[in-house]
Amino acid sequence: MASHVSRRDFLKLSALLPFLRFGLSDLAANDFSVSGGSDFPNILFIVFDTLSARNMSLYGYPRETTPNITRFAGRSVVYHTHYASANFTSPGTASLLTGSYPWSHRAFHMHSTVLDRFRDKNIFHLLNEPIHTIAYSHNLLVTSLLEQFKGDLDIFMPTRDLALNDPEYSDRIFPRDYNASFWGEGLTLRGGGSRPSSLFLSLVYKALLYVRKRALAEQYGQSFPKGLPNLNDIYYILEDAIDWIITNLASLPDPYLAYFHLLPPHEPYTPRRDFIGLFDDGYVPTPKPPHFASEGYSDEFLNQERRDYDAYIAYVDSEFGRLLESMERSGMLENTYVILTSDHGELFERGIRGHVTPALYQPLIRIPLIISIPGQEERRDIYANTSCVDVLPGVLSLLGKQAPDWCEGQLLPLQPNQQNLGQRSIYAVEAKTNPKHSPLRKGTLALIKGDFKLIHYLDRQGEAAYELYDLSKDPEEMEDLYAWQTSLAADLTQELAGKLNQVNQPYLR
Amino acid sequence: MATFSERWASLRNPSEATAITFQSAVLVFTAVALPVHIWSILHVLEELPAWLLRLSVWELLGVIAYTQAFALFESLGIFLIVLIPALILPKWLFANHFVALAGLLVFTNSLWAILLQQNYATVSDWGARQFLPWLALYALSMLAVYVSVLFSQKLSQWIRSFLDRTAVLAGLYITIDVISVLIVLIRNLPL
Repeated sequence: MASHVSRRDFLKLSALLPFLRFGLSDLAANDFSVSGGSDFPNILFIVFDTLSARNMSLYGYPRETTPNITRFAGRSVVYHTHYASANFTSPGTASLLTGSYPWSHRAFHMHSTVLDRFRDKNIFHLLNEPIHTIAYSHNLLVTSLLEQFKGDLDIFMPTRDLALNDPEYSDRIFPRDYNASFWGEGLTLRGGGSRPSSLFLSLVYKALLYVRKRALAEQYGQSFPKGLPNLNDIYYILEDAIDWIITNLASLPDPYLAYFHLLPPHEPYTPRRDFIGLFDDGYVPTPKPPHFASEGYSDEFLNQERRDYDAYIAYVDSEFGRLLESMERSGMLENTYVILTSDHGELFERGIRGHVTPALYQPLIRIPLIISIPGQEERRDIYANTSCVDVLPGVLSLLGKQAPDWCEGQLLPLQPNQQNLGQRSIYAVEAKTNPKHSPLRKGTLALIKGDFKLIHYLDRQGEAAYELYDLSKDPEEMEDLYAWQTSLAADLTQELAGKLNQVNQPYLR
Repeated sequence: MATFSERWASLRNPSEATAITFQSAVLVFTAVALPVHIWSILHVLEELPAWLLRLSVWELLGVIAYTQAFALFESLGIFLIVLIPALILPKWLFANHFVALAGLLVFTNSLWAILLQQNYATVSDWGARQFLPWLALYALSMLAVYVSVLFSQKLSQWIRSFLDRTAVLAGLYITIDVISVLIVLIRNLPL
């Protein structure tokens, strides 16, 4: 393992390199106080990709998947019905960072970016005046978004910095045109939906990648027998990212806003060896009928996949536990807001596995939100419905700033007695098949209001286009009330139609 | 028809070998550009509907430009891989069949590459035992190309004639590629 240790050491040292870019004189000029004497607290975002609240023991899941996050929750504000704005990374993360729903920022396709006018409508732009900003993502979908916001980032770490291999070239060759060159590179060397557009050189690329993959498998195979965490041909281990945060966060100039978007527990579900088989307990969740967009997976297969996902969450939780211990030891929690959340969830039911689906059921959109306030010692539980678009105004308010008028979120309640948000409406959008610059007419919308949730499949007609659930009595979304609760169904349908008409206005000719 | 030994003896006669001309180099470039660009354009067109959903016209032009600029450099790279050995190796190895030989070698390798692209998921799981017979078959196909071109005037002429007729396509591809390179340059200009 000698090479492993030296690599870690290298990462720790290399992590300091970005600060050299600023130089001490720049730090002084920007008045960043390294000693922590600033009026502003630090803010640390830890976003675990694809972490469904449904599968976290913190939120009542029968498997003990998140003991460390539960311990963290003991000194935090815990949001019990917090929703992502979408069911996959690009729109979910764009909403978190811009405080806007997908119908506004329009990053609702795979690997899409926000509209140009949102380049300066993001959390980094709003906070970069008093605060030092740093962002990193394992997930290239998020890196594409961060690249749009890099003008507001003091440090924008490329994905390769905390990855085990580096198959990306476009950001170094064409730094001025990252997204188009990245999409071009992707199609040329890796293929889009099908095969790569380069006939010969893509094979050389694949062969080199194969050799690197084999070497990594040999190096890490003992610890990760089910394979290494990876996405888009990039391989990672979560340990490296957590080590980097532990080692370097304390040396960041105060006050800072640090955003870390870490890939696990996104598929493939490849937990470390000590978590494999952790949940061979025979647990069988409530069986559900197949969805019209079922991928045809059997319940047996889905339960197996759920078991692997749960073990992967336990691995993520264990690494978060390591970070938590370090933050507790260093006293970081005394001057830092730590925000743990996700971009979307994951589904293992109704014949569907994963999150590339038109469905918007609770496991796909109900995500964790846990905020530790500096010096907080007791747990506060918030049961009001909140959305990821509320995080931006919430963070701004923590720093005494007003949310801008374009922001679609509301202030996050921080005290249980602040929960009276009224019958506010929260939305989730799935629109992968809808053109970016056209009115929303394809996809799925969800409206959550009080205890009720209306789902509207825009591509379907009549009653089949709607589902209505009472989440307080039926959290598993088993009994569709649309045909029974006609008055409520009509009200919510009318409200959603009105909202759709409103958000479509700029695109109607 | 000449016997194998007669043909081989004539090949060894350097007086029969001619130098590689600009025209023959253009025809070989055509042989390289044809499969590289057809494959590239087909796959770009395959992705087009998905891109139309999410990209503006300028972004779309940019993405296509990167793929086609890459196709130009891929074509030039492979062309050099074919041309440099031809300049270094003894001329008698090619006799007067440089264009046909290089052309057929490129086409045959293109077919192998397409086969590999189509079955990459399967092949990447292969061990040496499964891989070796295919490697032997590949080597045999290369030998067959060499022998058949050198010993069949008809095949040699047919390939040359085919490349003569398709050279106009290479011109079209180069035009597209040059426009693509320009678009890439414009997109990367400091604002």
